[in-house]
Amino acid sequence: MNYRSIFFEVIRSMRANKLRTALTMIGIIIGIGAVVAIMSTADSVTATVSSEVEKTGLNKISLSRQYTGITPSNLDDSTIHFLESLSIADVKGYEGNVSVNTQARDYVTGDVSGIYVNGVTEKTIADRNLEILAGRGMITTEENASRSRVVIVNSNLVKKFFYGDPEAAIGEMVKIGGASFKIIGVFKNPSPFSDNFVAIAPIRTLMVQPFNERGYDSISITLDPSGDANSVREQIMAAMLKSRGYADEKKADFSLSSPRQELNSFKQFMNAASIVIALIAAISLVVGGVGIMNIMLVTVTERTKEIGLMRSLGAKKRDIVKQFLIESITLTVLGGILGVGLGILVAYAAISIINMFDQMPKFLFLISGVGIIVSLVVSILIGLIFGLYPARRASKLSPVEALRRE
Amino acid sequence: MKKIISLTNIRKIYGTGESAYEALKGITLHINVGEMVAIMGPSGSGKSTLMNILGLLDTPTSGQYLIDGHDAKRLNDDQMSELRNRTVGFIFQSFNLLPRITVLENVERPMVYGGIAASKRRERALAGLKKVGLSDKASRFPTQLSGGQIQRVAVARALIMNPAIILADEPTGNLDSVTSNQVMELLRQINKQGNTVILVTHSNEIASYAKRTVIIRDGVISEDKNHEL
Repeated sequence: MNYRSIFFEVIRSMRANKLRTALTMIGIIIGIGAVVAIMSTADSVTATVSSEVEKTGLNKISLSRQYTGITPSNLDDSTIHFLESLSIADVKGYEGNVSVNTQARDYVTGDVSGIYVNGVTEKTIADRNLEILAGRGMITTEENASRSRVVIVNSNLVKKFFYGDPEAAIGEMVKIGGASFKIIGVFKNPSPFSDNFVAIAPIRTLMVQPFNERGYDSISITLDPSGDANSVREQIMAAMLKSRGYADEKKADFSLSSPRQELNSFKQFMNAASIVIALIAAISLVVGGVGIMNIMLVTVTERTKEIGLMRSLGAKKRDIVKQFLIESITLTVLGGILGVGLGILVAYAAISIINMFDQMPKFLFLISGVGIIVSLVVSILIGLIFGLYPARRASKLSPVEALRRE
Repeated sequence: MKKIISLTNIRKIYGTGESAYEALKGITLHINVGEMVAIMGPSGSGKSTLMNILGLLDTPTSGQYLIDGHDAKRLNDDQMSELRNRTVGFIFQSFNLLPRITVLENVERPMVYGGIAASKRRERALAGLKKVGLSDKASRFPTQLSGGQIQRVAVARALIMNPAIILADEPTGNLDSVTSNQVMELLRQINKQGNTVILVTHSNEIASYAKRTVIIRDGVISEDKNHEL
């Protein structure tokens, strides 16, 4: 069979019936478009989140306080010493973190606002990449060791307490959680949409403040990049459960999480979610397929006489089947290609709209290759499945009956 | 002389029971290789039914039909398609060409079904169009041709597989006398080259191109005359 000649015949008949062709393909275009848009958006979100999580370090496990009403905190330097004594292979080091939610009070107005306070060491503050507006963006070893009450605050706090003048705030005092802290630096808020107050202080200072319940919120466990996070987590969990006398991880007063595990489960979730949503969108493809079948039945009826003529020229039944299958597959594949284009546009628009809000991080835009391949394969299958019945019906016409039809 | 077509007691009954209608009531007819035969008869005489059976578009209810040595009764659908493709060339009164493909592609189409390589098809189709004087219309579409040109394209297509039999059903029915004569001249030339030509017509003038005339009335042959001499 000459597929090329039939293909051009199909294209010409589509051109002759532009409106009909467009209406027939709409179902396929929208169905495929939805599938590609959903899968591409999901891929974009997954890629963005993954790259963010990877930036914060996948080679970390976090040991956190499980809130059970225990005061003071059950994580402190003795916990770190205990962990160090385990000498677990693949662990590079342990570090306590303090991150508390308390209140800041304006000395002048007496206004009270919630504030996040983060504890840092002279080393860990360097990782924050702060954009300093005034003063300094570092804490000295001395300040940490002597538990100095110094803070670096964000621009939101300056805006509220010091009329937005960072220079004027330097050297001033602010009351955080009942204690007076001296402002030594001001950093720019990373997100213009956030109006949170944030303060950064020496970690050892924070550990002894009454609002912090004396200890760490969490302990970061840094692993060798080649280390086995699961195995380290198992070992620490076993040792901690034993030393604290818990039988069950679920009842313990601490928890262990690893970003890699969380990232993997996030990826799995996104995959499953996008497939489920894409499948729902794919239902519209069935509707599109029925539209194709309908129009192909009309086409067969319209061309009955042509079918008779083709049979008289020696076309076998399978030649007639092929002819009409090529026609329906051309319709669905063309619809599929247009749908892929539409889906990419919609996904691009969605990501662009998300990125119009000036937050960090920017979302990456990815086109789902799997989505496109699956869509095109599905397009071919729809053309095949929904074209087969009309095509077979055409082939079963008796040549003499077909020729006689007007 | 070798028989290319041999009909023995062919009957064709449409429908069943009370509404049954017998279109052919026992036709026996033999046509030799290289003959030019006109089949004539009034409307409803059964000549079209006979034509369809001859062209393997329809099957007889009873009787034996041998075409080029093949027993029509023993052929399956694919084999009948192959014979229509290779052994029979059809020219119809109207609706001869597929409307959405070019004149050249129309002439090529039987070669497509006959499995002839694409590289050879174009060349052969162009040569065929040249024979009927329509080389310059190769890339036109059927709607851009006159009735006479369409019939000449149909003749070129009917000949393209070099079939033993040309079946022409009122080939000039829609044409004026000048173009009718052109088409009939073409058919006469084809016949001279050795192809068997069978014409179905109700026009005495057209029938006069044939050396033998078979007249059908009410499903039976009423006359079979050879006016060569």
